[in-house]
Amino acid sequence: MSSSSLRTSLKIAFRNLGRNRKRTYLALVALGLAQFFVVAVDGFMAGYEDALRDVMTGPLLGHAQIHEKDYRDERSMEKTIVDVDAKLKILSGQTTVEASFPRVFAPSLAAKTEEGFTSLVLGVDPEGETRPGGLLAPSNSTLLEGSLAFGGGAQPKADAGEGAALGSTENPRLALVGSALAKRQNLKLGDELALIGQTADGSMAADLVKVSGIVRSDVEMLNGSGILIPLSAAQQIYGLENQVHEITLRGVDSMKSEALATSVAGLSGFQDLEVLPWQKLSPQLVQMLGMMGISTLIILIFLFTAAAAGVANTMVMSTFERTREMGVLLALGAGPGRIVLILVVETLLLGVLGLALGTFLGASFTAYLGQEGFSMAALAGGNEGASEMSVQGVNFSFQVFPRLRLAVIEQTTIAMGLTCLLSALWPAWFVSRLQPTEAMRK
Amino acid sequence: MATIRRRQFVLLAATSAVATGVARFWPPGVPLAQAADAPPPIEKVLEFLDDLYRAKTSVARMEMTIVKPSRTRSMTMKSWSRGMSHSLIVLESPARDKGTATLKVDQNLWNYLPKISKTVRIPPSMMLGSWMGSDMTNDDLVREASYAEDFDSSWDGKSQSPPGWKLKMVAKPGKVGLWKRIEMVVNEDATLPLKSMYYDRKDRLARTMYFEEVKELGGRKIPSVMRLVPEDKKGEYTVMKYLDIEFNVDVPESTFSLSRLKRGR
Repeated sequence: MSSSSLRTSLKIAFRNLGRNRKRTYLALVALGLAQFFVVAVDGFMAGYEDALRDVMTGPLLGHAQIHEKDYRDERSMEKTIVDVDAKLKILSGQTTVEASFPRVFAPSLAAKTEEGFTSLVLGVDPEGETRPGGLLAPSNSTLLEGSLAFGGGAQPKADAGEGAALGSTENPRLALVGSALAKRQNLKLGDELALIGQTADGSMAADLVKVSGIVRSDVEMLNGSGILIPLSAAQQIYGLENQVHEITLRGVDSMKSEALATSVAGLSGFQDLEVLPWQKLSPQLVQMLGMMGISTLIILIFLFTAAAAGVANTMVMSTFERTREMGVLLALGAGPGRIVLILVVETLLLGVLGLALGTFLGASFTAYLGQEGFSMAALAGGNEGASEMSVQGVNFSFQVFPRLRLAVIEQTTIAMGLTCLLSALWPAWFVSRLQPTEAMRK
Repeated sequence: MATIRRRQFVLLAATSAVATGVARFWPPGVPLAQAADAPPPIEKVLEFLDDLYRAKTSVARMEMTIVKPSRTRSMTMKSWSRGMSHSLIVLESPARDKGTATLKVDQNLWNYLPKISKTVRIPPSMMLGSWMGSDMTNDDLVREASYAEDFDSSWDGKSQSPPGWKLKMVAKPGKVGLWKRIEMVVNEDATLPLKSMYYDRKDRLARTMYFEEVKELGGRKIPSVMRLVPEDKKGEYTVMKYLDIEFNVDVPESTFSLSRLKRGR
């Protein structure tokens, strides 16, 4: 096929479309609208998945985690990462690691009065956890009362007797408690709590702490049973010298967590440890995101099918209406192939124009929302509590920032192209069977 | 006729009296019947087992060893008890845990930590948690289950290893408790437990208790060592050894109080 015939076909196609403006516009609008929805919805879902991923991989899960290789089976106190100071130093030198959060987990019996209650004592770095991605970062938790500076407090007194508590009443250890726990157990600032648990080697761990802050965290578990104490205090009380149970890592991009985990696992000193990205630690999250992706896809397919049907319908109609004209062309010596070409070009033209229109509108809309952010609260009707959602124990009320994904444009273009070609099939077959004389009589 | 009948009656009465007296005051540990092809009457055996370590009061010294693949830990303790309802256990060694105590009064359990001079009651949610890091749970300490009353029991034939009789005990419906079924092996004359297998509510074997080293303690012939082996934890078990026991000595009720704990035993 020569380029000139292509150009002529193009001109003819254009003109044909122009001949029935209303129908053409209708088809274009239908297609454009559908494409707009497709792009807008996809953009929204992209933003939603981003936000979800950020929140879920937030403070507790992080982007990746390091454990002693058998720790996660039963979370035994004694399965620790040793030589933590040295390891943290190595990690701080890595450019891929934005932050590392060393943590001690010590399920303990706590008591303000004589009535004990279960709690999870977490030994954390008081300053470190306020950094982005930490349990106490402003985006992940709110200080309700007291102060976040719980790092100060007792060092064990040199002359403390063998049975004496490590903290002391003059200079007690400080602790933060979760808001739900505080409410349920009626804990107030200044209350003294006894913590009783087990040391790494099995003997009884016990100490007293003073409540110096109450936090409401996005992490439900922390709210409901968390007592945060300084890492060094936890290490002393629970017999974990220079050891922790977990180092949570935050990288630069949550999508690149697998690479992060692999690179850290290869560092010297880390080879015997288990280093896993969030995708492996929380396959349910991966599944959930995957299912969201699938449900989005289904919606988009429906939308798109409707649009494509519109195009096909237009083309079929216009072909049958022009039977007479095509008969004339055939009689004049045009090959059926030529006529089919014109039809195909017309269809493609419709498709491309509609797609472009819809994409342009959709992209602009997404870009606009992407700047402003779309509040989930608005969706929920602006109710106070409805703006919060809880997934896997993490609460969030977030802003979604829709984002244009190239994948959706690629996919819709291919889909449109295929639809156009397919919808030209029937008319094409029809044309190929045309008898010019009969056609001219229609 | 009347004379003959009266004589017979007196003879009967006398025989019954003697028999009753013998049965009532039969010293524990002495077999009621010789080993035979039939096991002894089950009710008696169950009551006997229930009473094996019990008395009105008891004072004992014990040693508990907790064995784990990574390490082994030993503790010695002294315990006081009054019937089933009151018991006090105070650790004596190792030094850093000395004075740590557990007090049970009916279904309540408290821990006392000398390190912080605090007494804390163990909440229901922690009842299934391990006691002092061992394979025994807090619930084990508190439970007052009776073989005779809480289970429907039957003999289940002979056991080859260890040799003895198999006893099958199924929890009576409506009885709240952890174990749906306990399968015990007792020795030939049903005077000593040898092994107990505990099955949970889903009928899975949860743990096995071995009764070993029979000794004369406190005037009774009893297994002095109990080895508790959890089913799903490789290389882990707890051994409870009675060093000595005194039954029915004077243990005042005031022993079992928290303030007593704080003031120091």
